[in-house]
Amino acid sequence: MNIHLEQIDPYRWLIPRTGNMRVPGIVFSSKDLIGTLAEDPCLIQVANVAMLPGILEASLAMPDIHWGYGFPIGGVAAFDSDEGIVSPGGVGYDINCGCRLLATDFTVSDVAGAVQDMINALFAGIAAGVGSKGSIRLSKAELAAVAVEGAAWAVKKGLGSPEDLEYTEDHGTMPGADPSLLSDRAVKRGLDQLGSLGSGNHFIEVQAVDALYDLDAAQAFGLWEGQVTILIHSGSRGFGHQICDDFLKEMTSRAGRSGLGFDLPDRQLACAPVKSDQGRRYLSAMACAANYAWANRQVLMHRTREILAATLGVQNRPGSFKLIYDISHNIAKKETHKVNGRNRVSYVHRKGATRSLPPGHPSLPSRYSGAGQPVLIPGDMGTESYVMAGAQRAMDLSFGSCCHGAGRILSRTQAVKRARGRSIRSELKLSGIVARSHGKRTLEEEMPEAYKNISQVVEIVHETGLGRKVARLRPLGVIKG
Amino acid sequence: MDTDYIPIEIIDHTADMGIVARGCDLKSLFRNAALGLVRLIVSGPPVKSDKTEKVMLEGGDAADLLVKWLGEILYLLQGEELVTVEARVKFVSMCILEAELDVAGFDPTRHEMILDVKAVTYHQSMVWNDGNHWLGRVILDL
Repeated sequence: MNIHLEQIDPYRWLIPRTGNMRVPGIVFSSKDLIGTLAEDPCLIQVANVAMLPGILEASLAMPDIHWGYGFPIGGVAAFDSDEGIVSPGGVGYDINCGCRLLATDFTVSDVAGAVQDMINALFAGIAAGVGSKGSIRLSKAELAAVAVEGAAWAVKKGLGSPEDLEYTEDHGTMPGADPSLLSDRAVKRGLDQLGSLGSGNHFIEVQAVDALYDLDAAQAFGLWEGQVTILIHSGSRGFGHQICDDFLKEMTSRAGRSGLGFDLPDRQLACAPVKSDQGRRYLSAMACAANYAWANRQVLMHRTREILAATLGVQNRPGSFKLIYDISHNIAKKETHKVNGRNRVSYVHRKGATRSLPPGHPSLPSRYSGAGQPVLIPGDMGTESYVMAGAQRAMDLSFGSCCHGAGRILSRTQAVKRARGRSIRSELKLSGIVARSHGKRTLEEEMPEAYKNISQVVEIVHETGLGRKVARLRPLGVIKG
Repeated sequence: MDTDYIPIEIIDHTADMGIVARGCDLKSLFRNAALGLVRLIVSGPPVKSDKTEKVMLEGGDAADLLVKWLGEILYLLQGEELVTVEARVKFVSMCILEAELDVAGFDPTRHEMILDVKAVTYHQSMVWNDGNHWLGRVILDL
């Protein structure tokens, strides 16, 4: 399929409806970045998603869009709650992969000589790396409780405070989870991974706020210039991967026998009607994984607080590490949005995309009602991350959605090749960044050149109004799996 | 049969990784795909097995079967910590596979997992014959 693009305005391009597309595609990008997409199959994937039943308005591509499998990464699609579908591939294997940002009461100069110690302590104390097991071993009954309660389970165990839940998307619990639907394999994989970071692009980063763009929103979020922050990026681990795999196989078998009455352009788009038994079961199982991921990030945050408090000698200052917000960027949610002037209930699939709720939204903590939802956009390990604030334009243009990061432009193989003969660790150190990773090739695979320019991506978000820039966070040190 | 050389090729994918395996027939294709996947993930894999696992799979077509087959290999590794040492494919058609896997326990003191594969995806999955060999392609989610 050749993808024809028509520019709508400076930051949006239309993929016109053709062939089996039920709606058009809309790509949020810029003149500089749109050209890089010509060689990337992601635009074909945007068009493929537009063929799925019950899709509303358009198949959307966020500014960090890149080639995924089935759905593109950085894709957003909303499906009518009566006539639409739900698709595991539209959520991803790492269900509820996401990140959370902590504000500390330290300045950069407070930690000036301690960053190496902080990173060494996190590296030693946080379970991370390929196949890593978590700090908590669960029984089957406990796993079922985690799957239903999410982050609240961890708080009940003393691994955080009730206030943490207020600043977690959906309070860290998705309703409707039913652990009885889980396969034995998913259960087995979930028993020993709670409290583990994972590998690849999962990380814990120590940062400094080095620019503020919206002082009122920054104040509401608890951010100030020169402040040290901590960003944690992780998901549902093998538990979530297995749940996605189980349902994809089930739905693919059904689709292969033409159970849906139409031809899938890509098998990875396997789906089921929302109102079918299969669709309902997937949503319940997905909720189990989403809750596991929130519990995982809560446990990781608790361990991070303990480790850094001990390293910095502030064990008796419990308020030193406050959660600003936790967001999900691989999930499907039942939401109400205005479509052609009417309120429509839909299942919004965000795969490598986050929510961006505007000021006054009822789902926000009261402290953020004036500013809007914190939108966390991590850069790669060598570049800045951003905090943005949710905006009304996101509700108008993208089902309340925004991008989730910089987006890759080099494959892992290409990145490793480009890094040959170089020491990425040394290059980062020269930039003032302490980096430690468990995987031998992780730093090469995740090098800054492998990703789009995060500042360009954030500018597109800001200029389109999907979010407002609030703060820029510079990396001081990072641990990766 | 050369047990050391596994004909498998890595193909580029922006966020993930693809592999293409090759075999003189379907049995050797599926064998090579399995062992190739293991060697991508585990550095210094075991050479002696502890036990044998029987596998029986059905698929809609050969590509579906290949994805499910490699998914089994992956689950054994990640869920049961069992490394596939040898894969004996007893029977394979376009939609049925019977095999025995000689497996060994993953020993972190001797083996190392060097690639974190979340899943074997259906995206661009394909099995085809180029006139000389059977080939199979899958994209791995990393």
